[in-house]
Amino acid sequence: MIGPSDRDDSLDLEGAALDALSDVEWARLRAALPGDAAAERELLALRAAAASLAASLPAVAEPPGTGTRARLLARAVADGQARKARALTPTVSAPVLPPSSRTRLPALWFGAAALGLAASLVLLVQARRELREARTTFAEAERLRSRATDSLASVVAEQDRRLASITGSRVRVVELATQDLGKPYARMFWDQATNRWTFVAHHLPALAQGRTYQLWLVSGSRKISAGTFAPDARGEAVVRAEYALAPGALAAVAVTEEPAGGVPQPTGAMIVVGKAAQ
Amino acid sequence: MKPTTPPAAYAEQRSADATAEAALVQRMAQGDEQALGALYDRWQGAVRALAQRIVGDATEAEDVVEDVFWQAWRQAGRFDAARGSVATWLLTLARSRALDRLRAIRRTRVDASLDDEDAALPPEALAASSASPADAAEGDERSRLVAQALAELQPAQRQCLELAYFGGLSQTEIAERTNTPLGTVKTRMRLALRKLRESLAPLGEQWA
Repeated sequence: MIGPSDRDDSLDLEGAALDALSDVEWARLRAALPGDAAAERELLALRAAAASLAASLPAVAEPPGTGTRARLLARAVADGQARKARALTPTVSAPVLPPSSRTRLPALWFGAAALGLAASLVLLVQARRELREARTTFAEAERLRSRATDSLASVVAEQDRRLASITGSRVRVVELATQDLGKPYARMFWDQATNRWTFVAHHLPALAQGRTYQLWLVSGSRKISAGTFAPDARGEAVVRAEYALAPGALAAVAVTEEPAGGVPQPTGAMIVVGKAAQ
Repeated sequence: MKPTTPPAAYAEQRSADATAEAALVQRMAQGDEQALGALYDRWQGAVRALAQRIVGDATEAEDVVEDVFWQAWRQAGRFDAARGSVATWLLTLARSRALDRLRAIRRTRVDASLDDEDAALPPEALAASSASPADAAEGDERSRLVAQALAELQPAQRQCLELAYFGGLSQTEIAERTNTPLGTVKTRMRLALRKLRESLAPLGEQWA
């Protein structure tokens, strides 16, 4: 490994190790790194040092009931079975003529076949060379694209999860409204399969300084806070929460206006409310 | 006072553990889901801590944890031990996924917070762990050694590192946020990371 003083200081490897470079600096570094093995090694070592920042945090245990480990293993088992199934898919081979058929072919055909074979070999060599070049180009493009792809996959997975939490087969919908037409209204989507709650509100009045809206799940005599929130400039808001509730336990959903930070039990004016159909 | 492990002994132990973890990843690449479970038990606490620190929300962090280990499962065949330890690989994936999630949250401009922590996340959850006692003790030791190395940095240097690593900010964004010349930010970042690396050197290559 090289020491910090042995390298090209014009390359900001520390900035790169922390993904903190500008686009121009990244491009310059990408162009320089492939020919500089020492700088590449140095960057890997600096990335390891940067990752140590994560190790400074005390570990946080998996909360009971989330089932993340079990879900992961179930997905891995399914994925492993799919891989095995793909590996066992039979391949189709070209038929081989029996020797007796070949011996009956005229000599002229052998000559034509030999010429064709030679031409094919030339084409094959050329194709292999082009393939090698294409692979190199593709590998480089793939390397540059992989970060963007990973990010995109994560965003898509998140969108899928959010879509499922409002369209799933076990989603219940509670409509919340006031008595007056055109005033604030909202919907609560409760995905009973995952215990995810998605609340969407419209036409909420702007809040005064030091005030907040608070979302409540009413279950029997209990009023469970599902979070505080503020609407955007158009009076719209989305709140997501995760809370396990028995299927028949939800009586109503309500929103009250409270002091900033929220309160343990509702005290302020009811903005919208909706009764859960049993 | 809690007894501590000398850096050399820790380095020796980590080197052996790192070899075992690389073998786990190799088994994952061959489709062994039990290896994924073992890796999860060993590193989920650190991955979850990093995700929570970045996204600031336990529910969102839980999704990040699942994404990270699923990505590790799918990409296990690409892991190259010559380019770094399993710990660095896993924590780099975790940081990347958590920053993606943080940016997605910012894009939706949702201002919501779960204040009924007792209802959403029972207090006993914080005490429960699927890691073995030995793993947990080692995690504590790792955390202590790295925190000690960080404490030796100047506050401004440490701030630069933390804004970049946990906040996902570029050097230009850090300069704007801290009202500091860009050149100064670059110098602080360079010195800080060099010092951190030197401080962790006695722990060996497999510091994590």
